[in-house]
Amino acid sequence: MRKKYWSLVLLLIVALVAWWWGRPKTANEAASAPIPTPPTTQKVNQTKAAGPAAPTLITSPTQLQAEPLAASLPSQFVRIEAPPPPPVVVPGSYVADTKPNPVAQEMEEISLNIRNFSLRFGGNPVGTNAEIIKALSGGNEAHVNYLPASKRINGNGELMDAWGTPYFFHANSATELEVRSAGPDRKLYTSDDLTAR
Amino acid sequence: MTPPNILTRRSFLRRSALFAGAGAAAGTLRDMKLMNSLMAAEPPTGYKALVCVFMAGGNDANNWIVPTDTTTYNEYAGIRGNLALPSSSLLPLRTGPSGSDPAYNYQGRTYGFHPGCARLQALFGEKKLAIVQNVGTLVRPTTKAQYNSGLAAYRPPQLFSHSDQVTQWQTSIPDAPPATGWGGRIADIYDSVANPTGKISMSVSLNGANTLQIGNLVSQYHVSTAGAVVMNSSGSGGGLMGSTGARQKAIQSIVDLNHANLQRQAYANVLDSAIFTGDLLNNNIAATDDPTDAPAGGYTTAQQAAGHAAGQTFKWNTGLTGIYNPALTGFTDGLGGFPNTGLGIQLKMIARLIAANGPSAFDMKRQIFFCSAGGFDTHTAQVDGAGFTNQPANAGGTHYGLMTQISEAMFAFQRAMEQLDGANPAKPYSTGVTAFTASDFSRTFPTNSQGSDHGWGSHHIIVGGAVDGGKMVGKLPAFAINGPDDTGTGRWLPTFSVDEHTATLAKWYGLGQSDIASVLPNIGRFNSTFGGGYLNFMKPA
Repeated sequence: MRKKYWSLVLLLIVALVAWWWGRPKTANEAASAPIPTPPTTQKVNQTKAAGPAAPTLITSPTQLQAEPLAASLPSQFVRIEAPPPPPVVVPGSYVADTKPNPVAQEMEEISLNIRNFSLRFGGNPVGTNAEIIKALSGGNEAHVNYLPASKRINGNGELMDAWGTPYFFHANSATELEVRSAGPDRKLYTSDDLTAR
Repeated sequence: MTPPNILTRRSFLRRSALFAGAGAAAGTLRDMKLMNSLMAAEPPTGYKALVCVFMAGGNDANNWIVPTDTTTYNEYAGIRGNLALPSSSLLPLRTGPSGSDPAYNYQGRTYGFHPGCARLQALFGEKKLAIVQNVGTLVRPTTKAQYNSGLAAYRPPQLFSHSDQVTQWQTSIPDAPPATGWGGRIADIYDSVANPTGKISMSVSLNGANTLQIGNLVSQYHVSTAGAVVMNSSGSGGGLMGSTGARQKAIQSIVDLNHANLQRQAYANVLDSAIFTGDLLNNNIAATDDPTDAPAGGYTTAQQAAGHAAGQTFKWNTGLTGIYNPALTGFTDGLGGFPNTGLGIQLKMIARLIAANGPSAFDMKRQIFFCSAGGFDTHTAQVDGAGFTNQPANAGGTHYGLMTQISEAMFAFQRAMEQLDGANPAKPYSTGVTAFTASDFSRTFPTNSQGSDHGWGSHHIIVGGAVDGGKMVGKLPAFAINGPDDTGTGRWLPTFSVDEHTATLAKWYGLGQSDIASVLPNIGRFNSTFGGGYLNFMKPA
């Protein structure tokens, strides 16, 4: 019993020491720490900013390593921030919109729910919008609800999009059910339609 | 101690093994039944071929064959909305080939074909075309109450899904994972008996791989609309094998070697057989290329008129103008040839393969052909946006073009078979070849404002000299949303199953009852309900 007690005390001490070493540093401690070396790219940018000075010819790898970067910088060192990264471009010249699109999010969510249903029951729900929504909302063998209650459901039991048009579910196969919103013009299969699968 | 309802790993494995064993046993039993059927099958006489014309995407059969009597037409127009075809545009089904023959009446209703199907109307009048109403995939005979129960025993899996319903139409076993198609199973049973010296596969596809023709023993052979794709030295740049043919000769030399390695030898045999079959097929169909074939773009109206006046028979050409030109409506012999459409040129190649068949060529007594046309998934632009404008004079609307393609191509094919008959009074080709349509499903009866969505039961046609034509079988669904035949939004609960449709074709093809039961393992479920599992659309043998 006594041995157990001492072991616990020892463990507590070790934990305290570990916390002390790993704790966030105070402002004073941070100021006294050595200045981190700027990345090589900043050296390149700086060299360009300072003017077209002739580069020093590096003749050996040891020379490259021996020369500290800070020493090679001119005295009028001015920090230049790297430019922000360009927007992510995916094939199809689509530029990712960083703003959340609630309609697209909702459709993705519906698709995800359908996938979860499919995983559970071995196939997508089938039929019309109302039949699919009924199946997703607990009208299934396990009475599991895959659809949050806050969704827009019309009097026919159909799930509607943000513009008040029922979503269209196009069953391509047991594993692929395309969710289609008619979009702002409220007409299916026009250029402003939104789809998720 | 494990609670009784908890599935332990051991019990899970034990149950899984049992299920796997049961599944394998069921498959083996089916294969053994097929083997028994194969051994018991009698060698057939004469030549017979089945030609499947698949309408990919789900054809709107509600607008293909439309009731024209006032009461039913009004029900139709009231629900279909802007999809409804004007009654004046429908082509009436008659009891004979003449426009003055009385209207065909079935179960108290008269009917008309879609305005794009003038050629099918003619074949119906000639009693070479029969219509099956409301056929579809069924696990077993099903009432609306049984469907509404939601039990899997009464619902084919993944109803209204394209790929699943295509597969189920072509396997005719909706309640089992797809393994083989019903055409492939027929070929497995029949090929070695019917075609003991046959030189090509019994299953030929003009539209690539399909489920219908998948068999365990007989592989489907894919032919392009220009013939077999072979390793030759023709074409720009010398084709696949170079302009001198040196590579082709080199490959043939390698194939001809005796290989000690069994796998190499088997591969060489397959390659050798493919080269032989391709060359054989192309050499033989070359003779069916009529030297009087139409010039590029088809015959002019004047040329066709001159040909018709000279009493020329059907040509193996490709030219659409003669069939469509209203000035040539008297040309009921089909002068003008196969339409230059996707389906037209597929059926033309099938006709050429049948024409080339013979003891010295392919030596086939039984064949199954597959061809397909796409674009039937008409969710939108099914008819003109303005509604009742889908007249023959106005070819607008997707479905008009699709229906016309089916009508013209199947008509040309039937005429080609009749031409092959020549003066033979037995009419061996036109009565030996039966073409039939199939599709994923029909479409919803009400409009979705621009088109229609995925349905279920569908009307289909069967064309050929052996067809008990000029008639309908089946039952028109009651045109009422949520009515006795509706499973919701105008998706008709099928009256007949694909099994019964297929069994009728298989019986005509020469299969005995036990063979049919092997090919269609579910057919027994339909015996008591629907007249022995056979429909009445083929003439008695």
